[in-house]
Amino acid sequence: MRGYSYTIFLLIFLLCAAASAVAQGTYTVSGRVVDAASGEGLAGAAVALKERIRIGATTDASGNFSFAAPAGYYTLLTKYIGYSTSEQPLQLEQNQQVTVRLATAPYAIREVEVQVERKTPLQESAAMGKIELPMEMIKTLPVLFGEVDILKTIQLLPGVLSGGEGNTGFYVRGGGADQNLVLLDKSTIYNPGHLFNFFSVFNSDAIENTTLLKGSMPARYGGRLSSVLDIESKDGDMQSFRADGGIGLISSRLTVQGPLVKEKASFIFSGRRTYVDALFNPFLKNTEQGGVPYRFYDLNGKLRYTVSPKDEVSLSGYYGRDIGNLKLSDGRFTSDFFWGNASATARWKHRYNDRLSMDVSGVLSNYTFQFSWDYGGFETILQTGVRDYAANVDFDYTPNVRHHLQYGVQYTYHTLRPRTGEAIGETGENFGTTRVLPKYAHETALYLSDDWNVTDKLLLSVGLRNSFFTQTGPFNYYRFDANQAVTDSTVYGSGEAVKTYSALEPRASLRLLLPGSASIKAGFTQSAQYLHLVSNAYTTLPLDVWVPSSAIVKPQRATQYALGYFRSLAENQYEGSVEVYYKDLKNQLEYREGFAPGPSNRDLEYEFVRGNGKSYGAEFFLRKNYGDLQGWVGYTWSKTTRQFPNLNDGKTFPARYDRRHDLSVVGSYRYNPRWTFAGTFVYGTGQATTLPVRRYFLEGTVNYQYGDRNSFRMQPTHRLDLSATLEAKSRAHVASSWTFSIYNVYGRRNPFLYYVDNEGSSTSQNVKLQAKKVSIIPFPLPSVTWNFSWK
Amino acid sequence: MRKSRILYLLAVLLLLAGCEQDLTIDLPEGQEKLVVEGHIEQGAPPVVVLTRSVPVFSEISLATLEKSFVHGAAVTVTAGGRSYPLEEVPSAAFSEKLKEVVSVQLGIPAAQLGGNSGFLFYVYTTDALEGALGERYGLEIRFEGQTLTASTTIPQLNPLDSLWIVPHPTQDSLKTLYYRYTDPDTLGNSVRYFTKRNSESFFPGLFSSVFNDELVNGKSISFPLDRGEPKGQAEVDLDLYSYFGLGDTVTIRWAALDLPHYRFWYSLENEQNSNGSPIGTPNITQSNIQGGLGVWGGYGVTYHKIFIE
Repeated sequence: MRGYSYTIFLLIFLLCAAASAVAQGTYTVSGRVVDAASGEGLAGAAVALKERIRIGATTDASGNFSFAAPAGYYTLLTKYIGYSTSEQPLQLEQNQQVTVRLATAPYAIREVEVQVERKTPLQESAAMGKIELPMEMIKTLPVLFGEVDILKTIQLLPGVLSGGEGNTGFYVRGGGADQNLVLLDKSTIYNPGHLFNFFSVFNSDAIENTTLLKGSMPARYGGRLSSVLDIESKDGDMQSFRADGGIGLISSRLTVQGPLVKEKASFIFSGRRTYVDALFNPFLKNTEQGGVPYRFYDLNGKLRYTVSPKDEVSLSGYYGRDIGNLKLSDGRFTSDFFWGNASATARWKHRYNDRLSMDVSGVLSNYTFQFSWDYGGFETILQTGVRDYAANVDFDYTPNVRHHLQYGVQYTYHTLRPRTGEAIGETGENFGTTRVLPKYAHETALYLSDDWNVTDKLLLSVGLRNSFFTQTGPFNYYRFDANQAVTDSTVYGSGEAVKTYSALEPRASLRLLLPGSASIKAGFTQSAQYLHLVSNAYTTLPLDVWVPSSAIVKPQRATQYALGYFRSLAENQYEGSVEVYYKDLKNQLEYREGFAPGPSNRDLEYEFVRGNGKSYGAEFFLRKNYGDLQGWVGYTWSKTTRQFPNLNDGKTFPARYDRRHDLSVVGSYRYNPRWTFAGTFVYGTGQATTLPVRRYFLEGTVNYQYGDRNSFRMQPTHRLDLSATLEAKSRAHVASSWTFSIYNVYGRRNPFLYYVDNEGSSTSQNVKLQAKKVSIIPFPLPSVTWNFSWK
Repeated sequence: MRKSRILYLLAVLLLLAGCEQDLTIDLPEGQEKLVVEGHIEQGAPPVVVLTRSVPVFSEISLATLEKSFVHGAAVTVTAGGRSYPLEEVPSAAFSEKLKEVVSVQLGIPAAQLGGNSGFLFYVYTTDALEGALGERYGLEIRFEGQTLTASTTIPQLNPLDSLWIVPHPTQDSLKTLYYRYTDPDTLGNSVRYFTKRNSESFFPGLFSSVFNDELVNGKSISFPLDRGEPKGQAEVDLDLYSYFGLGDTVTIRWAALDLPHYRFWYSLENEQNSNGSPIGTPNITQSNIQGGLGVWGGYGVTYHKIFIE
């Protein structure tokens, strides 16, 4: 009960805060926008509150403006053609007079949108199930070990389920872990987790924008069935140098950025490195290992160059590694391991005119896992990985106000290195998985989509994606007998097409505006997925293998229908939605029954079985976007099942991530300019699991007979996390803040897995059986992080 | 070949941040299944233990143990076109030879199989049949309308080439045993090994007792051989794990298996090793019995001895 009282306390706290936000007064902001050099008034400049972008005004002929706004802490945003944009803090507690001095932009006059950017109200966009997350808000939320993590934040959104306690894995609308397309600057990140997914590879300091698409996927995205997580890295500051960083419990971060050529070229570099080794060492002092020589790091960088007002080129890259080694049995067993992603994106954005622009990119993505060990003079190397070379040409064309077209072509060359092992004995004998070879494939897609404003109220968004996938040689297609001996094989030469698949993937959605800032949206999406990752561990592991569609495995297919009602209130301050969806999944993959992973000279694909899946649910979302109190409540009711002819005797079974109820409450409250408090509360139905129902003895020890697949439910999970951020007193060039957070405030022992432990034997008649619950972080875990910013 | 152990060690590291707690859960009773533990090896009669599975948390006592034996089943082994009906024999009536076979094959201390040990045990067996190398043996069990079938072979012998000793880096009293094995040039050769110190029982390798030639077909390998230990220990003493002691007389039971028999032990050990590990892979033992659980497995056995000095 201790837990619930904390929860109630938090809710009361949030409600009180909300009440006070509503009760505040309204004041007038008035002033003048002038040229910084001449002091002349600027007519037609746009002035608005950044936090509530609808509140603002345009200056009159002499540069004066005036508008009213509720009390609060804001940023006053001023934009004018040919001048640099100004942002200045505004503390509105009484009527205010402001003078905004704008400096002329030193480069050739560029057309700047006069309309200041603002978040499109939820009900006006055509996209369904699309959620953007501002980094400023994410950064105030309480997090595990003080490490801000976007993958954990998106788990708090409706329709998105977490992969377990402290885990960055996520499942969207009944789709598997491999059905999320994770993009960093257009480059696919194949394994977005560090340290068994406790942390994501995304250093929050290096990220500008995160967009999650879980509903109607626009036609320009493809290759995954369930969602797209599109992450854009930060651009360097074109004006001045700055450094940001932080020191946390498990890692430190540093980002530096600045102009290379003022207003034309910029750079940004970010680094993060953990000291988990130091953190865990005290616990391991008395063990043979004596510590955990394990660490991970991330490096992000981006160069951006504005060649001309119409051309911009950028080069961005990411490199991350988990590295460690183990030494056991007095050094008889030693091992080194590492895994990580590397990606590079070269991009050229060209604007032909106001209506047509082009985005050309070349992308390299690489994921590598390697585990090597020496045992008794036997050196063994186990490795797997994926490498992509990709090129994309994307166009954006607005022929008139009624149509917005996007079209392009995307191409990727995949090299998928399966899990291979090689061992060399003391006397030079050599063994390996010689029959398991890399696989090669070309993936191409053409797409076209049109956002068509049929009337002022009706927006129809239609798109078509045509994808092609060809597995090419060298490839040997083996057939095996019961002894795993090859009975027959078909040999394909280098570059020879082995198998080609193609799919037409229609996408359609419509939005109908209703009176009173509301809308109805409906969507239909078909998609195909050509790369697969099958995992039957409790969490995805770095040694999991991506496999292509091939002569052995067919592409996964999905059809999704969605319908939603969206509404915003109080000038877009609040927005809410209700969405229902139904998703049909074909050619889903699982390991065959009785499969035990181990070194094998057969491609892993031969161990898969194929079946279908189904998921449906309703998602409720209420969010407050602006003001001192921000946050959201998301609730999902859903049901996800699988049916495989060769699993569970052909009977339908719940997917492992089938979760009937999933609730997230997220709030952040800015108490004053120095203190911001935040909290998150999550609740989810217990995970489906397979447990033994009966037992028997073999060689005197206990063995189990299992119940139906995923027929048992673990206890529900729930957890409250709280944080407080203190802005230190600002000094001339340095701003800094402290974030204190407590993960799992009331120490809930959330189940990660259940199992039945046994010891003893029937012959010595000392058998003991005990059901056990394994929890990952069953105690309140405080952390503190210091962040700074230097200009 | 050591992967399961590496995962186990990684799991230990991960668990440092985690926590285990006892739990009281209600599990459904499930459907009772018949369980076969049957073996045949060269020069020995077939031995089949037939029990039934019981609810996980049902009482464990001598009485319930005795109740789990299935009596009165029709058990038949077929070989070379002939059928051999097996008869049920209680442990009290075991011949010395049968006692020896059951003790070695099923891991039961011979002393417990005596008439007055209080430990009850029943096997189905026959004097009319002895296993022979290279033969296939069918098994059929009929009981209360259920029919269980299985088939196994006693493969040709695949003996060890040699055994030798490598000293422990720091402790003089501990020694590592190495073996050299040359695999025949046909795919599918598999081996299960057991070790015995002095007059102890034979124990199979603790984490992994089976090998398969999928990756070493037709080649010679040298590798450490971990000492077998009783399963079900509350905690394995990792300081002593795998080592033999100075002065031990060690006997290795090196048993050739066919593939389905290998897969049974491989999947069973995988299930046991990853039970409760957060990064383990839950998997279910792959039985070679149609219509039931357990195993019907042939062993082609060679014995090797070495004195640790």
